[in-house]
Amino acid sequence: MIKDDRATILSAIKASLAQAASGRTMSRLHGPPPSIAAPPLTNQPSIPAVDRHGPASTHAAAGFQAALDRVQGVCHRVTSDAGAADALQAVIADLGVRRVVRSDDSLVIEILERVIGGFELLPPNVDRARLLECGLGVSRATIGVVEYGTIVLTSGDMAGVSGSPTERQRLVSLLPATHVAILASSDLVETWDAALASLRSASGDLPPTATFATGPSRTADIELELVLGVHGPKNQHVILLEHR
Amino acid sequence: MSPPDAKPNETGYIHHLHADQFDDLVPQALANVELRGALAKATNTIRNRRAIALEEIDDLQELRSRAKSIKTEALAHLDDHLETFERQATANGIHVHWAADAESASAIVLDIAIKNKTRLAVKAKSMVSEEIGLNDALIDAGIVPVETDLGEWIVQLAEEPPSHILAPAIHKRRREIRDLLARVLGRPMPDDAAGLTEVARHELRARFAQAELGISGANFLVAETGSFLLIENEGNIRLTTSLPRVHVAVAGIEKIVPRLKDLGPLVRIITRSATGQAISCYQTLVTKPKTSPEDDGPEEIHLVLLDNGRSKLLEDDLTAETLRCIRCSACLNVCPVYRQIGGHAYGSVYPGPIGAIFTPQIAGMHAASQLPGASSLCGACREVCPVDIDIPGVLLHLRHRAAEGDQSTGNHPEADPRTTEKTQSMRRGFRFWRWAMGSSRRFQVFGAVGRLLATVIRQVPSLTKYAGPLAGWTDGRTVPRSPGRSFRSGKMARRLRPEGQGRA
Repeated sequence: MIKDDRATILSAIKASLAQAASGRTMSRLHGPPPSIAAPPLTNQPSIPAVDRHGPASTHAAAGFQAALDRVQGVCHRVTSDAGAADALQAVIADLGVRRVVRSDDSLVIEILERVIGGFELLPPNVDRARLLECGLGVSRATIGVVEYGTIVLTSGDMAGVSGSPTERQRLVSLLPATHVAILASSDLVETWDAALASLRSASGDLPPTATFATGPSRTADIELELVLGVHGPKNQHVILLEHR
Repeated sequence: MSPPDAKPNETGYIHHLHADQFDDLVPQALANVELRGALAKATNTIRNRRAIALEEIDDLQELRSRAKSIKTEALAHLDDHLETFERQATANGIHVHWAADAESASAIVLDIAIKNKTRLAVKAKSMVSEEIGLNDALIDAGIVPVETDLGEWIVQLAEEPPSHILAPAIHKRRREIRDLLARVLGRPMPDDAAGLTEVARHELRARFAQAELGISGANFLVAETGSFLLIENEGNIRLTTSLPRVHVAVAGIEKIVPRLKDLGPLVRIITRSATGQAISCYQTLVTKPKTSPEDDGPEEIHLVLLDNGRSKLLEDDLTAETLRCIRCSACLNVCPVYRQIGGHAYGSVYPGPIGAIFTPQIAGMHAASQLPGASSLCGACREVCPVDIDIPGVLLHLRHRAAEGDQSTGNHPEADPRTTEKTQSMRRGFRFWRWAMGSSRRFQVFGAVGRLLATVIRQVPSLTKYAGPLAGWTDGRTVPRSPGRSFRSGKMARRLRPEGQGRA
């Protein structure tokens, strides 16, 4: 039988906080003011509103590329959809990938249509066993963060400002050894905080899941030696569409 | 599970706690040359990476004080924020559960596992699940828990507890890990870290695909939106929270932050403090189960809020500081004690300076009274703490409590049967010391006795074996050279004495 401890916990917290408050009154004559009386956060600057639809500068694109490079990711800057297709084709050819899975974002589909081929392309709704056999996944990054070279991957009905409403990409970006993200430069923001703020819709809703991913997955659990590609992707590519 | 005399919410429970064996564990750890080599290398590396990463921040003190005030504010109104969190998370479709103690938290998770016919549960590294002994509870119910963080998987296979909050297998050398995997998996293993990591990826993929349940902790709970944030590098948390049909997260009540925007400063400082990376590979903000049957991700998300003695710490502003901890483990890597003895000697899943204050406050002083003494009070822990916890202050407070009696039991130490002989003789020793220092005459007499003893013992060092109850002190120390005469009778003292004042 599971007992519900809600009331027990809340009343214990209230009692403890009350005791701390009375202790504070009594000890006012002794020693420095208590640490819990830290200034309230009301006058702290809030995250500035961000306009993600303005023209992104080459400065931002270069900053994003440099940051991603620092964490062993690769950023391909392209200026046309055809250029994006070429970059994607080159990544697939270089790695000798035979099976590719895509998300159902319309921009991802559009770019993949321009890729010549030489591999099997699977939609995201294949069964899991087939998905696990894919060497590369292509999906849309909702936001790019310039300061860290981070891409934000969202699930559910909020993927991409100009992306399709129900992008299926959670496993596409996670299971294959290589992940290629398609990122429009109009989706670049300067800071992690700004990316977080812009995840909220006008009504304040958040996507079911949002993953901020910075470079390939890594570990240092064995003698602190850096190894890339543990459970997540080994290779993280971002194709940055500077014309979008 | 809890000690029989504990009242609800008064004292918590820490699984496999054996901090009372500290005095035996320390010499063992110090004698383990392999361990000390691994520790020195590892802690030095992380320490340097951390220092470099923090240099990049323009206004580190400003960021620290912001991180501190976010956590302080959250704790000052913890009850309100928890209620807001529950309301928002429930509206998002997350099932929120409340667990006053370890036993009820395990029971809640077990109930969810059984309802979903779980045979295999994949786990992302979670200190709280170690604290409540969740793996043992699952195993007892016939469910197989598989740790998926590389270091945590290694220590699970070795049947050891983690020895570091962040790098659970920090105490193990590479060849030890190779031999362990070769034995468990029954085939030869590669020599290099990359090869061993590849083996783990392959082995654990199969488990992720089978598991009916994913279990994780949570780094931060956001009251405003009912979301929670998971921070990692390996991608195992993403898999744990994406593949199984049901996801359960277990989090201490102190993990709450009031607003979504509070995550920014905390994320900015936590990874730099922890591993020295500017940012971890992945931060995943979970807000709802999947909204469309077509989508990936769990259909059901549960979040268990655990008290287990934490609410008691809010009674006092100093002890409440303990709850600000964001588990970055920076204090472990700089602690001169941890760096020598490692995590296992603390006999608690929470080692190092933070463990030395967290463990006795959660499990009760009587269960871990030695741990607050496991510090030189050098203050390095506080210096690196991203939320400025006054660890030395809390250590002193707890030492005082260890000496003066645990208020939670209401017993004076001399009347408390759990007080050890060692504590008793220490108390007698200090009572004598106070009396000896109590008058000018006694001070002079015992000063002379001390100088005489020092001279004699220096000539016949074997005399220290008759030190009796003082052996614990004399064993590790040499007797200082006697100055021959007291300071008060020396030239220096005469020179310092104000003009015209005679001998006291």
